[in-house]
Amino acid sequence: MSDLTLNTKPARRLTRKSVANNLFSWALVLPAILFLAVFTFYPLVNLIQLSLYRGNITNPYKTFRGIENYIDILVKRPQFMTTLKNTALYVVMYVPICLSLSLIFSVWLQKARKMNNFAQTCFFAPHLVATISSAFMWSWIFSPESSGIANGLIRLFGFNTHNWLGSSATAMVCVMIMNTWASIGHHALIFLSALKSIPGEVYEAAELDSSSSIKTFFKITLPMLSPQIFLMLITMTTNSFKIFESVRQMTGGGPGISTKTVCMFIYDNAFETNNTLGLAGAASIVLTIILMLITLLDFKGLEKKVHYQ
Amino acid sequence: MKKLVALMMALLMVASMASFAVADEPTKVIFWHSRGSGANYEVTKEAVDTFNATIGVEKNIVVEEVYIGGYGTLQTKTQMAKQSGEQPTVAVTSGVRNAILMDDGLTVDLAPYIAASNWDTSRFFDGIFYTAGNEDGAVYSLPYIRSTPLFFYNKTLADSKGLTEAPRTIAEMEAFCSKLHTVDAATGEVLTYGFEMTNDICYLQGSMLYQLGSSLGGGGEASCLTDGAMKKVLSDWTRWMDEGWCRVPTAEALGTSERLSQGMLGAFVGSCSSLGNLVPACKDNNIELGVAYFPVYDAAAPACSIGGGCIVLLKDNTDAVKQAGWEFMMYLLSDERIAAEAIATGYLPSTKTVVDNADMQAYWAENPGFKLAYDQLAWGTTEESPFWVDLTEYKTNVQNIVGELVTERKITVDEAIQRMLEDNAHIL
Amino acid sequence: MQQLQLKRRFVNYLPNLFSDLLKIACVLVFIFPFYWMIITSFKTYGEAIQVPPTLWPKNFTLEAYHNIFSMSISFWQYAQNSIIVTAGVIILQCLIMIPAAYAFAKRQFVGKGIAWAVVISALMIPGTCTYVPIYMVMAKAGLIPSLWPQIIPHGCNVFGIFMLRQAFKQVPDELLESARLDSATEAQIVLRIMLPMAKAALITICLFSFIGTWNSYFWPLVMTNNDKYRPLTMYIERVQDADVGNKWNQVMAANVLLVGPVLLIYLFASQKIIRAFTYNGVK
Repeated sequence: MSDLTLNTKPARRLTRKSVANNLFSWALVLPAILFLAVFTFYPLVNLIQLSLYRGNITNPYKTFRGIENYIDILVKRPQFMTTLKNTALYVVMYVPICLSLSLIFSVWLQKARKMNNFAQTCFFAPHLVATISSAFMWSWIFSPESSGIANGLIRLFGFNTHNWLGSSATAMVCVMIMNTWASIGHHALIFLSALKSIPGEVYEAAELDSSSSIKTFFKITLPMLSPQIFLMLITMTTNSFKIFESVRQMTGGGPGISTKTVCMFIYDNAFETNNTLGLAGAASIVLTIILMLITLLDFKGLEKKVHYQ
Repeated sequence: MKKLVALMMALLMVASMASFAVADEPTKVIFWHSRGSGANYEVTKEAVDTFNATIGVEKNIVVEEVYIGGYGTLQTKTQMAKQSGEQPTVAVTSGVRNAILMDDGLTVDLAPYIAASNWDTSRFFDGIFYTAGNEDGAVYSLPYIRSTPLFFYNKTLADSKGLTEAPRTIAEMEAFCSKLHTVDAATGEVLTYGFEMTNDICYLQGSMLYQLGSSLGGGGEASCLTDGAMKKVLSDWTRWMDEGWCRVPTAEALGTSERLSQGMLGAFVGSCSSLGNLVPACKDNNIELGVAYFPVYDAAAPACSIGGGCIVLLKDNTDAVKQAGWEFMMYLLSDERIAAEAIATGYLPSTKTVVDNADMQAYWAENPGFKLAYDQLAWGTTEESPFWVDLTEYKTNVQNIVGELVTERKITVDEAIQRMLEDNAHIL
Repeated sequence: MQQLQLKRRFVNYLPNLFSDLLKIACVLVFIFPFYWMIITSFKTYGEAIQVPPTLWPKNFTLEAYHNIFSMSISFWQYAQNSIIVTAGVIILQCLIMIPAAYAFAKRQFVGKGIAWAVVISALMIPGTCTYVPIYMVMAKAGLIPSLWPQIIPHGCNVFGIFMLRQAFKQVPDELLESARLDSATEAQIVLRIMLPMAKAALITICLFSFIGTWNSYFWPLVMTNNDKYRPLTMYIERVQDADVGNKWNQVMAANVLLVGPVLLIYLFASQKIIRAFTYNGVK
């Protein structure tokens, strides 16, 4: 049965019992829906309102601008499109690398041995650290002077020190490294739990057929994991599109605005500069639409490839 | 039994009447500020505690200080607080942003309070008093923690190279710093950079713009972009970096103060508030700290920026609370308080009369560097007037482009200026 | 005889040797930033910013921790807030998530598809964008001077509903049928049958929730205006002493104090999770 679509049976005759059953079911999901309505959907509506004006927090609806804010950020001024490009670059770098590494790690640590448990715990530990703390640590590691660990390492190999966070080519890569470090354990854990649910007989059968471990991985493990991989792909993509805290703390937008992401654009326009709340609203709506498109595309495009038991 | 009950009731009545007499709730003043850690926080807390213990007891006021964040966060929170109905009484804002709050109608004109208390505002330097909002007899903000930029250098290193006189003009500074720059002859690695200037567009580079008779921008005009001043400043700065002795500013772990005290940097320009920690840090590392005026293009026409913050009184409070807030503001800006804060942190005393304060004189005798920052007030300009509602957006855009220019050098100065004009076309 | 046994065990282990060494190398790389954080917190300020940096403190000192606890800003107030907020969020999320996941997994009802679409679409709305509108809502409700703005908006954990629903679906329908035949109430079914079988998933979700809430910084930054309600993540900037130029040893010490409880809880919970996973795997 597909994890993501529902199996709804056709409605039967309206008996008193079925009405009571329906009401009870709705009572179970109502709190969740209410919370979402107030804290996720209402803000979206509010943002649409805000995006049609130019104002600040005291006076959000100062001057009416219609869709001018949208035209501003999409066409007239390059800043938003640059942040969009930066974010897209980040996503394209981060998702494949993190996903494949997590898969490899989870298969590697599959067997229930002490060493694997220990390694698993260690790999997950970075996830526990608050993003601000990680950002402090890693900006120290990537410090441009010889005092930085990264520079110290490459000098051992004879290269010159490099300004990691100050050069637009490498700044985003550094942020990606930090985020991979922080979240590999988390994703590997999810894959691990899925791996444990693959029946042992499948592997035994493969061994009987004397299939090599690599072949087993591609022909058996991957397809059996495909629901989880699919799910992780979607969540990773949408989450990395929303990246904010780590970039802000590590590079503050990087040299110029080469590492500024869309959420940073939204936050800065809402909180740092005056009179730009409408721009933040417009950017938020554009971001939401993009995320919806990505999720829909993922569903349509990849669901066919997903193999269900 | 009845007698006992009657006695108890009588006692109760007396007690309640007594409690009514005593329970005169003190007026609560909430003070939002930007000074969160270290000496800055300690001195703010001291101000509040001292006030509460002296004038507060007298006039039944209790002040509560709350750290909110940097100037940007503070401004936004103050604006948001209007929506949530829990505005503070007194708030700190940066020089620019206080006019934004005024424009939003959140702050109170202090002129009637000043008149009623017979408070002398001529004590303040004209340059920092007459900012946006304080024209035509109205007073919407008072200068609180102000600073001017200074030139700091490693005097020990300079003396060892025979550079005994501190530079005064920019030309002298170029010669001075290029000699200060130390390179390891064998590896070619830089041991000590000659100079560094961080990308603080309205404060440091802004000072240079003022010296050229221009300014970063005001009232919707960005004259520096068209009259060549910005071009000269950026060209000079990039030339210094090209010549090798000026370090490229980057966002990173160690700041300029730390690097100077560690011997990695020979000189830099920065806020006088850095003095507060530079002096002991250099002492710890056996470096003598040299302090000089911010270098100027023309010694006969000096100018520099005045940065820092003001305090404002917020409208959305009862009259009693506002009056109490005003008492606190007067206390904060008394000469004794200003001297105490200046001594503890390095922020400038903003009045002319503080020179008569004994503590201040003693401190200046011991630390002549602090007096230099104070002297610069005589030719300092604030960036805030005339008021321009989009100034913060403009500044951010310009600062981003300058950052791109200096960090990567992928664009030329002319291209940078062109982009500044384009990026800000909608607000200029 | 014993020697032969040992030898055999060693030979059996040999193929794993290379892989294990590689694992240890990876672990070292992963753990290094932690190590760095911890030793920096035990250095003096001067040594912390020294160039080149030392791999082991020359002068092992508790100076940073002492400074933190003797500052006039109350560490314990911040810590207490973190604890209350995190506990509150976990409890609230469980109350909302468990019934919803059960309904989506095991019950049929009219409009189920729509309800599910609503829940999924919430995943697509970025959190950063919702700061301002939610602040206004909380402000109008007069809740800003309290811990509630940090708890209530996170009440619905969509990812949690997802995972829990998946776990609930694994429970065989026959168990539910027989329980209903025994006239068990729905509440009893959930508590006695569903939850125990989904224990691993539930613990994992709560753990992730704990980590996320404990470590959140920007949300409380926007929602709090007073020390009384600020959590531990906001404590770090108070020890920074940024005017002095970032007291690194104090910053790292504050970070250690921030990570400490999470690490402990994780070590405790991960054993349970691993055991639960291993149990599930035996089929």
